[in-house]
Amino acid sequence: MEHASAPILVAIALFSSLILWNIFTARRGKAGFIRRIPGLNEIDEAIGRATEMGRPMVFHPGVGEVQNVGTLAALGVLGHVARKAAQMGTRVIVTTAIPVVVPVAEDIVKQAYMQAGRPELFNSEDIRFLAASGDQLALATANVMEREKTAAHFFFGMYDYTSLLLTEPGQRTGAIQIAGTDQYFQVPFFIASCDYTVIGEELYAASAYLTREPTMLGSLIGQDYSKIIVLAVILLGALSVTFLGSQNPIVQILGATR
Amino acid sequence: MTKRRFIALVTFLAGLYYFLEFVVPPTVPWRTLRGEVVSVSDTTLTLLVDGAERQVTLLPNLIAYRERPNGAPERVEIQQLRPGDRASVGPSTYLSDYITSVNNFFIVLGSMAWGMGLISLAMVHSGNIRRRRPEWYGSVLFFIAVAGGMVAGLGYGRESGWLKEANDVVFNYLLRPMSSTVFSLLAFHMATASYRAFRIKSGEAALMMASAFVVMLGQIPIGMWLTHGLPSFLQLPVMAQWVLYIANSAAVRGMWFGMMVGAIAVGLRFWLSLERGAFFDREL
Repeated sequence: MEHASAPILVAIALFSSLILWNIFTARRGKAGFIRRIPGLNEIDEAIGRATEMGRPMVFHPGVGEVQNVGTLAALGVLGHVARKAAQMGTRVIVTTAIPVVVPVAEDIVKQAYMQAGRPELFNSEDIRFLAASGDQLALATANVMEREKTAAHFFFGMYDYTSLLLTEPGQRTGAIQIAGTDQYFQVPFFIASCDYTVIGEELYAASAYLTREPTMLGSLIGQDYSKIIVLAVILLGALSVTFLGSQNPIVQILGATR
Repeated sequence: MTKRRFIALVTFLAGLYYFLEFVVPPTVPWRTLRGEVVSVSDTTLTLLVDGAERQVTLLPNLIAYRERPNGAPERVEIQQLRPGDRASVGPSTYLSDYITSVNNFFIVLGSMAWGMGLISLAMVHSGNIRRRRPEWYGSVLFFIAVAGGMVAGLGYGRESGWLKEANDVVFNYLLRPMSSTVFSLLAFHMATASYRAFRIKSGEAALMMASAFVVMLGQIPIGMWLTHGLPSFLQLPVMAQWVLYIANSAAVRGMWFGMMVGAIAVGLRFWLSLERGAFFDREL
């Protein structure tokens, strides 16, 4: 296994402290402003449209294992989609190729329906493990879209080559499609075949943006401070190499040379 | 203890092991020697540290890391070290020794979930059959396929016999070509998706179209042929390389920095059970 080097250790400690500090500051009621993310704004719009049409929605939490950060972020989005769907009395069908995701997604959706005071609408058959491999899952999900005449499709999480196999059949059904992934190779495919795409870290910010909970907002602000530090270090490194050469003390402290 | 607090505690303890395993060095730092290997015997290892030879008695808790040419450490058995190698040797902090066992535990736990997946499928398809939903006979086929697949799976690794034949038919002659067929659909999906993406509807779409045009032409000989008479910076292959390796790399690296910081934040929120909306309906 890999072990943290000294600069990585310092970076983890610094970023974690910043994020936790901002979380606890936000919990004390000092939450900040976060900018608008169009793709995430449209989630409620898509749920509303599906409700008006009286059709179900499909949520696909990616092809990553449950411990994958992208999958965890996607499950956060699923919580919001399920809550809204429960409030509006709309069905949300979750399809996955990862068996461990089934009980977790089931619990999230069930809780959302119970919170909305409509537990009778929850149907465990709507949390579907369809196939063990990505391409078979894509076919089966396309079949669900066709058969159930779904009106909104959400694709959040980690994706591989199946991204296009999932979204192109969805595009043909005329449903509104919103996708978000941290796999930048798949981003162009989502942009081409979905109505809205959430890119990279916006996926990790999604549950914070959607729930507007102080904890989540604080975490986002902490992330932004951490990114400012990363940017400052990059600038410092670039300037020091430009003016002092590649073996200067700053570069050696940062661990960029061995 | 409520269910939520129990989940939070288990999540914290499981995460704590991985966190400590990553941040704690594999050997006790103040008792670790780093230097060039002089000799290795069954009982002792001699290292050249700061110009002086140091002998290390080989105790069972000692572990060694050899430095690769790029400086990255590689865990090796002490007897695998050769004179001239750069290595660090010290007593183990034990955390890394259990990583395989802990990973295996999670693999076992994960494999239990396959049963849940099968139960989920069985519930959906038995519901289809019970309620005579449209195309319910497809669900009957599902149960036949599962039974057939399980029997055929028994033929895995066999040299001969009908089970091997069944395994070949199901996995090699049916599933594999079908997967290839689905994969080949990607080509058509890409064509339709590209057509939609390349319609110039906005300034951004025009920019995307122009850069795609440059990159595509720059990758093929006709791009070179079309622009070989122009100054080098205006030749399509050069422009394509610039788009791919300068403009694109800068954007991708920017995304990566954001994603890595985001991953730390998501990891912290889940580890400390601060994530509201996924596993908990309110903050703990």
